Amino acid sequence: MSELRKQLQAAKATYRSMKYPGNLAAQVLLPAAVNHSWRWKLMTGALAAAAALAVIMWPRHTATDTTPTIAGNTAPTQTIELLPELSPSQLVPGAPDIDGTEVSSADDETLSTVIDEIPSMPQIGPLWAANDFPSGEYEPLVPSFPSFTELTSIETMDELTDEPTDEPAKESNQ
Amino acid sequence: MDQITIERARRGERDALAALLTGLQDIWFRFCVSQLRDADRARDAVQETALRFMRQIGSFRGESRIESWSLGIALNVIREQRRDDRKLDLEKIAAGVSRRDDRANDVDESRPDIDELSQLHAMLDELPDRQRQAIVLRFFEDHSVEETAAAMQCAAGTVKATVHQALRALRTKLSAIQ
Repeated sequence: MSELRKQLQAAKATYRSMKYPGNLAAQVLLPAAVNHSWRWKLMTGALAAAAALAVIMWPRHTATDTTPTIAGNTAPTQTIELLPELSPSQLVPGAPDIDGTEVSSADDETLSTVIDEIPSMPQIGPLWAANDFPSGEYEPLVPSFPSFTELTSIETMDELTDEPTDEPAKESNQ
Repeated sequence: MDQITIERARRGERDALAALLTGLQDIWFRFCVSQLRDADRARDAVQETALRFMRQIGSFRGESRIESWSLGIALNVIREQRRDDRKLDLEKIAAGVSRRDDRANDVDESRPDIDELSQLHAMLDELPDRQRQAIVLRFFEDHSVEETAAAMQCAAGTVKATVHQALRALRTKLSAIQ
């Protein structure tokens, strides 16, 4: 047996003597079990939430789908009468019906609104008088300001205003 | 590991999975130690391997032994860990701290010194990863060439060539020591 083979045999013995420190299955499978119980709780919670949602939604579902019936009688006893179609004579009194029959006054009372005449635009006066613009052109008013000479001739600001103030009176009092 | 247990584990039966994990945990651990050379990191790798094994057991078709097939999963985990380690080393080098210094400061007396188990282990550490994997699977785990190829996810011819190169390198190192 060569030296290398002897060395390999010796190394193999020491190599084979190495053991994993601990229980790998317990270390690896335990978290999986915890994970499984967590998943189970999540699934149970989701199912409970779905059931609660179904209970909440059930009355709405039944209210929209069922038709009102009287207890003990499956056939409906009341019918809803639809309003008759309005004819031209109902819309405009005196106008003949298309088929030539007049609508009775009793029918007219059932109508909520009766139009007396065809509405027309209200009459309003002219927006401006003819002599407002004698030249035929629109001339907007230009605001006028006092000239420089007028401003320099004014001694006090009070002269600019037409309304009398009581400032001079106060000064006189002082 | 009997076929019935494997079939039950494939169906997700808990006790069968536990039985398989118990039977495979030492194989995975020693293989991870031989590749990572660190008991703590090997333990992490074994737990990750177990999680992946449970996820992938449904796709096991029985074309190879479950030991070889599951060692393929372990090998992928080890490769990913090494990739992360390289990233970490680069970050530490950038920060001015070498991995060797970091290990020296973190000595655990209770942990067996894997590198001192035998002279050959020290030499194995110097081999490239692929050659070390081939030697461990072929000679320590007693896998056939085909089983080793299944675990390493390569062709049988590649395994033969890799083992040949590894043995030649080991002989050279051994003669140099003597």
